[in-house]
Amino acid sequence: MTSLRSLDDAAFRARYGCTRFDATVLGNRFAYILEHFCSKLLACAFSPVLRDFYDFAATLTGPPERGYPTPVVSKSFVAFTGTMTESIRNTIEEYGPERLTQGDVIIANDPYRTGTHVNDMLFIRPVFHGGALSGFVNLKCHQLDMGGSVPGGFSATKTSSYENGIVLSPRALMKEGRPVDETWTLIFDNVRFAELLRRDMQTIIACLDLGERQLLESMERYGRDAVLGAMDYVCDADAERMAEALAAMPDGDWTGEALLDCDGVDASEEYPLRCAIRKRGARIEVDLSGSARQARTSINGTYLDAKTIVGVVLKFLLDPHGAFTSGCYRPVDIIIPDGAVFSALPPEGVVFAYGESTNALLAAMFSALAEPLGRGAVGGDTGAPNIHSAFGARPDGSPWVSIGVGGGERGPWGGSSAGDGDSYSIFMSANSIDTPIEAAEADQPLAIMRREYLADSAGAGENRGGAAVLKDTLWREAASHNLFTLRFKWPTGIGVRGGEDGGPGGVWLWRDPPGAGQRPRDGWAEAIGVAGRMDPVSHEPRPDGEWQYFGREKLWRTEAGATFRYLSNGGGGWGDPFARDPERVLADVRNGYVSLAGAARDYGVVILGDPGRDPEGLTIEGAATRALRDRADCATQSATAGGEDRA
Amino acid sequence: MHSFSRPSTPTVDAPREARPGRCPECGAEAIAAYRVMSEGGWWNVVKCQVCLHSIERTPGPLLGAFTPLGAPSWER
Amino acid sequence: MGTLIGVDVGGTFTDVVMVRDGEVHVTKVPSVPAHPEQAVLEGARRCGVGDVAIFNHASTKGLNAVLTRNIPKIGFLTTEGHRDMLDGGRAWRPWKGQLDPRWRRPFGDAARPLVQRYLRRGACERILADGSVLIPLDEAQVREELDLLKRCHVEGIAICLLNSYVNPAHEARIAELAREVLGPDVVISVSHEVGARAKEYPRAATTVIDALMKLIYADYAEKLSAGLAEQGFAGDLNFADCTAALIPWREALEAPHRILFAGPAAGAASCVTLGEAIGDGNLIGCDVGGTSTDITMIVNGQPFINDSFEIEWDLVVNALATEVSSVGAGGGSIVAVSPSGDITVGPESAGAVPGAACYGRGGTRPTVTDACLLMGILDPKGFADGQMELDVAASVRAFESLDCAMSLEERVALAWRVALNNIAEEVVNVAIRHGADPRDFSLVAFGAGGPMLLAGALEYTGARRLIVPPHPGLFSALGLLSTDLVFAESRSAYHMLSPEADGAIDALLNEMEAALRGRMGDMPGIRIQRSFDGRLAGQSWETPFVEIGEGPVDAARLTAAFHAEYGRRNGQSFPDIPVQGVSWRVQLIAPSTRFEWKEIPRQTAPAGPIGHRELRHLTDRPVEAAIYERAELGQGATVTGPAIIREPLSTILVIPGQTARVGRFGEIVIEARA
Repeated sequence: MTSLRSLDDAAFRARYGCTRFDATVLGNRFAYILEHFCSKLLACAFSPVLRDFYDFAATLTGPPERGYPTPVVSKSFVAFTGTMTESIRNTIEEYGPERLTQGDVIIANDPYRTGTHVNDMLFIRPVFHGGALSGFVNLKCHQLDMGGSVPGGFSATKTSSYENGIVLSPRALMKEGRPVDETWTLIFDNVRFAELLRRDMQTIIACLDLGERQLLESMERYGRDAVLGAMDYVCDADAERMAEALAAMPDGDWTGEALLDCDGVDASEEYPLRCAIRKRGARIEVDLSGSARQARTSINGTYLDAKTIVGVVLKFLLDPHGAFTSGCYRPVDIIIPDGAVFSALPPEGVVFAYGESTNALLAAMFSALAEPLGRGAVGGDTGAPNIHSAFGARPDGSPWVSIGVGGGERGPWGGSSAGDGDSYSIFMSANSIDTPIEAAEADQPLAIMRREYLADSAGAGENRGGAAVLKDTLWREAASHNLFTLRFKWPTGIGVRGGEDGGPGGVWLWRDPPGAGQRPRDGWAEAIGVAGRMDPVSHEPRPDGEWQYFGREKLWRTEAGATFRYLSNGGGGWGDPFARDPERVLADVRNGYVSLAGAARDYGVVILGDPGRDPEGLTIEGAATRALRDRADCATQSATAGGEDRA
Repeated sequence: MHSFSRPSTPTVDAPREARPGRCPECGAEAIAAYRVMSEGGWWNVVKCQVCLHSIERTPGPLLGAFTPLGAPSWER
Repeated sequence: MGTLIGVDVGGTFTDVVMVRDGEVHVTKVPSVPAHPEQAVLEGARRCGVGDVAIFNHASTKGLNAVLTRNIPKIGFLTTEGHRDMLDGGRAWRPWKGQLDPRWRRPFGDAARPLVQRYLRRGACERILADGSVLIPLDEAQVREELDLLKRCHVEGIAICLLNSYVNPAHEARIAELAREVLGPDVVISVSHEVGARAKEYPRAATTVIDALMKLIYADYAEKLSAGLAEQGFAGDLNFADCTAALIPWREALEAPHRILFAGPAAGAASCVTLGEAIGDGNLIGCDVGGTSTDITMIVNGQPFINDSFEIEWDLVVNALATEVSSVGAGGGSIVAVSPSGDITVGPESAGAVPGAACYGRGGTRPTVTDACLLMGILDPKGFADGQMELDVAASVRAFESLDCAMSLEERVALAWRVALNNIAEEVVNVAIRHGADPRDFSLVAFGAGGPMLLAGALEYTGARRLIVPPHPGLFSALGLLSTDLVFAESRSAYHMLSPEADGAIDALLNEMEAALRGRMGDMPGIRIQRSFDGRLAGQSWETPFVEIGEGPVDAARLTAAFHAEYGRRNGQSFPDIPVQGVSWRVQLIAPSTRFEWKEIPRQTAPAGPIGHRELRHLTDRPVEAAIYERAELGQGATVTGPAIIREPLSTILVIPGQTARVGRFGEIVIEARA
């Protein structure tokens, strides 16, 4: 196929039914149509989940006759992006495109049909132009509640899909602009916070109206064929970018692996996730065979989540600034076994915390692709949501709840060609605003006593990973705690191109209150090891330490004054740490990211001075540094030579 | 299938069935048939295992292994 | 009325506007980035300041210093265990980093921090959210930390402890110790003084910026004040804040984070006064500069004021700021080709140096300005009052250098359309974000590029008309003569609105007002404005600037006002959900002498063109446009497109089919094509 940029006017028009001018303008227009109605959604909706977590996505989709192309996804949660292509097709094909009329809104929320989890309701507005079905305007929005056994739904310990609450197969919410009463009542008879949900749904419909109006205006102005042609063009351009990026990579076969430590039942079963990647020319195959079967509790995802994360990883590594469309998958075949932890099936394969398996798949692919990407490789990140929830009653008996504040919700990213990784971020495939400590302390009985980076925890590298976040939370009332940490057995911050893995994370607990006026907790020995790998005696985190299962108590109950410590995994290093500029190592020592001992051990840089008392008086001992680094060079060379001998 | 039991083995594989023939693109005699997820959803493909050329691609089942029960018109 | 001067220091030019005897005089002085006061003083010299009563000033010196990290060395003291809050910020990333695993926070330790980690120190102490002390202040430990910062020769220190917005005792004591240990020459900013607002990271970042601004502006303001005095200036020198409100310069230096970024707010203030004069309160201001277009929305004569803004991604400053949306499309925006062969415009910009290819200063990549030149909109000889000749051949070479299959004509035409489209889409976005319909608004075109671009974007936006004010290139500086003196204070205290909380809120507001009156001294005509930032129970973000009104606080009235403001901002409200007040604000406003728009003479004879020029690539075929001199057009004159209206520092394009009419004050109103 000729490349898009070499198409002349006539060829372009023949293929896309419009000029390149119009295709360019329309391509921009699609993105803006979404931005306009997402702006409206963010302004008008009540829900904090949308505003703080971007927990929604919007797309435009072409009509069935074109194969439902998705030329644009909104600036929102990437975890939705890949599911939004197939879920529109799945929903409309099951509902029956011939039954659609102008003014309809079709909904569905079944993860086995539409991906992610039941709280993410999909709303589809079919768009008719001149009587012909001409596309769809879509929103998928996290709803505050969908009924089921857990308020809000967030739980990794549900054991069947029946606990998830209401599961909707494709159906009409609106028909010809009028509400379908039985659908509204079906939903609101089954969910909590129904009044709020109802108003947010009305806002969502108004947003779809706006999107539909603007898409129709474009069709009026440019013609239906031009608009649909431009949709094809934008998808083709994405497919071409992906194919060119693939072609630029060497051919080869690579494998990667990551682990979910366990599920919520017990520690008897590990869940390894594997990918075998084969790349030939501009084609790639990602085979997820050999991965763990679906888990016994709600840490599973569906095939659409697996599809999404494969596309997201390829975008991350190969085309981070291009538009994400359905065309990105054209050169990509994903082989997904049924009944795996990322392709669970009902009713036992209960889906909720789908982000656990997608995090692990991301890590497996990052590690598989590290070698062929060379300088483009990126070190691994903190790797998991690590959400801590707690609840209890205040002295006056009123209940309180704390979700996603007192755990390991933030951690580092890996090093890359751009430099060292940041240390305080959410896992890569999510993006949300952090809760301020003062806001949390104003309405929950807790005090975050420490939230600081741990020295020597970052994976060493020419560009190192971000440092691990050490966070101590003092719970000022008696509380019950629900923990869920699935990525502490193996490093998640994998090193690439000779960089080191990040240090191990974990969870610790001091049950007794600190003495009056006492400084924040120091050390590890007196704490109970709750989760992660640690020394059995000193309780210090150690990559080869004993692994503790958080689920040995289903609810950790504590009296007032207990402290939970979360240590995130460290970020992965990029490139040989012994090639790091000694001045940068010195700066790291001055800034407490690396200790004096760590500088010599991990970077081969000997630094003299007292970083604690005299941070500006540090110096590099040149001769000793050269000696250390030369010795490391010799060791590497002899190891390589030995390898060649054997070969 | 509507109701799916948990697999009995700890890990699961996607079946890949060897097919006779020769790849029209690279000439290799390593052809296999299997199901993939790609642009446009599920596909049943016949592909060269050496150069990844697709010899045949036909649309797969809409929802993969999951078939809802109870909708008589679902058969269409 | 005395003579007024407004000075807006930009990256390339320092804009000077003077109003003497009701007449507006303008001049542009090339900026001197290393010594910005020199350009300001040169502007003053050109005007003559002996009779000047008021000299109002907007400066980007502090902002540029932060953006380029050309900043003094300061320390940061916070509660032990929390020094890394300055690295993490709010821990989210912008859309451009959404799919980029190599993205890094621009102010993080891995990129360009404002304060190195070793200069961020912990104080052993802890106060809880209710103000109680969990860990008493360990003064000996704090002295050790301060000693260390002293040994590192910091020039300033920012102090921000957790929950100090409720109980500032430890912060205040640390400030005393810091003064003792570090001596009188070291600048100190303390978070509860800078602004006792909840949420530690924005407060800490604001305190750091405040300390930096004290160091950056103290010397500058002294030099400026002395330099003006030398020229015989005996009036009032004021700085504009981020809402363009004026602050006497010494008062401004007490909390200089407020004066970080006044230019765009001044543009909005100018729109407001123009709107008042012509009786149009619903405006969308579009300031088209070299690298970007700044868009401000004015509803019923009021711009939107926010309680914070960002210097760069997530680098938050708690200061009242006029809401401005920026899109990376301006005169200097670079035209490029995407991998698939499409024309793109911006966000990359040729900036002031090298500038557009046609400037002949070494730029080789095509820009929007080059497109305008090749289209015939710009006159190669009449640019910037004839001070600069534009090189058409260089523009042609730049467009021809693009690697794509299109003809030169198509490249130019598409660059123009894409640029207009980008601006227009952002205009629509801003309107929708506020629940408004652009069809109910007039666009105001100003900045260097506004008059030449926006008529083309008018139909894309759906706005009802386009207004090009007199002196469009210096319209923002004019805004500095359009506002009042404001003394402001704000503090956080979480209160669910209910009659039980009324007393506590009253006490807080009265205390703040008394403090302000103490600082302001005796000024005539002082007005008081009280407001709060509140949120719906269950939401995590605040709706700022809800009017409290006069008299004792009344929960029911505040609640109703909140829901009304929520609806005004968002186009939707939730009146049945309880409201929590978070931050409380008092402003004392003293009227300043303002500039007033003056009517221009009526047009007596039909306006005649001074020449004709061919406009290319605007429509399918080249068209012949009549050229008019703006100074020759009186009130009521009409011009039909295609036409070009020239003035010394701007070029106004009227698209075929559009009609332009000159209004009472010389504003040119272009109606959209029917």
